[in-house]
Amino acid sequence: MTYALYTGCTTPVVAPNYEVSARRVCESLDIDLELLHAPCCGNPIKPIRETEAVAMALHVLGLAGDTNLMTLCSACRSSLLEAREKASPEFLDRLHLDEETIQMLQINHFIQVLYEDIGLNRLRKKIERPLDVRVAVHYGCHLYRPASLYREDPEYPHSLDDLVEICGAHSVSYRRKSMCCGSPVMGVNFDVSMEMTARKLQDIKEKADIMIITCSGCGFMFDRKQKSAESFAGELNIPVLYYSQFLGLALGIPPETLGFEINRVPVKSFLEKVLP
Amino acid sequence: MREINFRDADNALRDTVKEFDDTITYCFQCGTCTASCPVFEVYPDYNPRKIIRMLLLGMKEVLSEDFVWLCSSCYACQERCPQGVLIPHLMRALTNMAFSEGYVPRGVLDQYQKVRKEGVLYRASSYDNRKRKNLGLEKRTEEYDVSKIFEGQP
Repeated sequence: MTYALYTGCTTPVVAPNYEVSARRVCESLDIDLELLHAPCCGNPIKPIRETEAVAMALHVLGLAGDTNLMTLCSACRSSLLEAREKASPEFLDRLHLDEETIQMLQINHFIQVLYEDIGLNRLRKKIERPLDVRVAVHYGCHLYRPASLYREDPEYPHSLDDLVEICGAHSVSYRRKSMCCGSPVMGVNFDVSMEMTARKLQDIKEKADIMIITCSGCGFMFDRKQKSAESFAGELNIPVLYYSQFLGLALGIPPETLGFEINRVPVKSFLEKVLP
Repeated sequence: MREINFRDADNALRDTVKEFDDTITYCFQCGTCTASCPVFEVYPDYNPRKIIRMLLLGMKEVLSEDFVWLCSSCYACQERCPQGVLIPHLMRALTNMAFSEGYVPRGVLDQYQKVRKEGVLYRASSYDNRKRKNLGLEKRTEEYDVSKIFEGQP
């Protein structure tokens, strides 16, 4: 199975730990990745000029040619899917893109590749190191909403819960599980975005040992900005792992290759707890 | 409470919004969107139900309000709206219109200009690339000329 890896522009800089661990996991599952050299997906410019954002996303799809795309960031995937839905034949023509190639392309998120292409049964058999911890999963909005673009239940998604539980962990329920991380409003009102982040982390604090995420935008808030969120929520100190790091550990991949040194909130006590 | 003067109502505004997205006319003001909104929960000035009402009443001043930029496009409202109003899409149409009228928060404009100029929101610095190297990842120094993508854009 071969995918063009579209990292977007945030992940390589903000979350190289996500990128490296996802690539290690794919390697161990025989998913071949070809790095796609492409600009931004257009998501950050939507509020100002949506047609330009759509053009950027379609340009990225054009660069993929006929190789199916895998994204790491959920917002990238949503931008690409949405743009394809909105693209009229005339618009594609103006960008010199072939409609049929664009429509045939699969645009999958890393999590979806694991859940649908590999599947829970095959993954379960590969678990070498069960991780007996309480986990709070945060899907990130664009992994499953709007429902018109995805195959998950928009109120009660379960792919990530399932993926966490096959690793031997317990996925806990918590109050604001389906709520946004706050990152999209950071450029408009920093305090509002931080308070959104803080409230979620506060809900998780007593219930789980770690938080699991699937999007570098969410990672920016929950991991990199957790210290700032503490001014709204008091001490938090919740380790935040990308699912790829968590699965990597469970698959028996050496922890020193999964980018834990990049995690901002210390993960040492968690690693000591799960590693022999 | 403020008095709404219908003599000042701008019907063209409502029509323009409808051109972007006519689902707005189905709104019957139940407030499910607002009740589902994670932004409203921490900042009640951002009230999607109210914004929709202001648009339908042709209250042009809504374009200059800072709060219209606060939709996080999480789609929680859209999934629950009993009338199928495409609310995040509508909010985007609204901010696009506000921008055309000259209103835009600094942070959003900065992002826009950066992406238009460099093709990316985040460009790897030499420090970022050192971190990447230590992880065994290749250098990312790409610059993209994205100007062509925007040629002929309205």
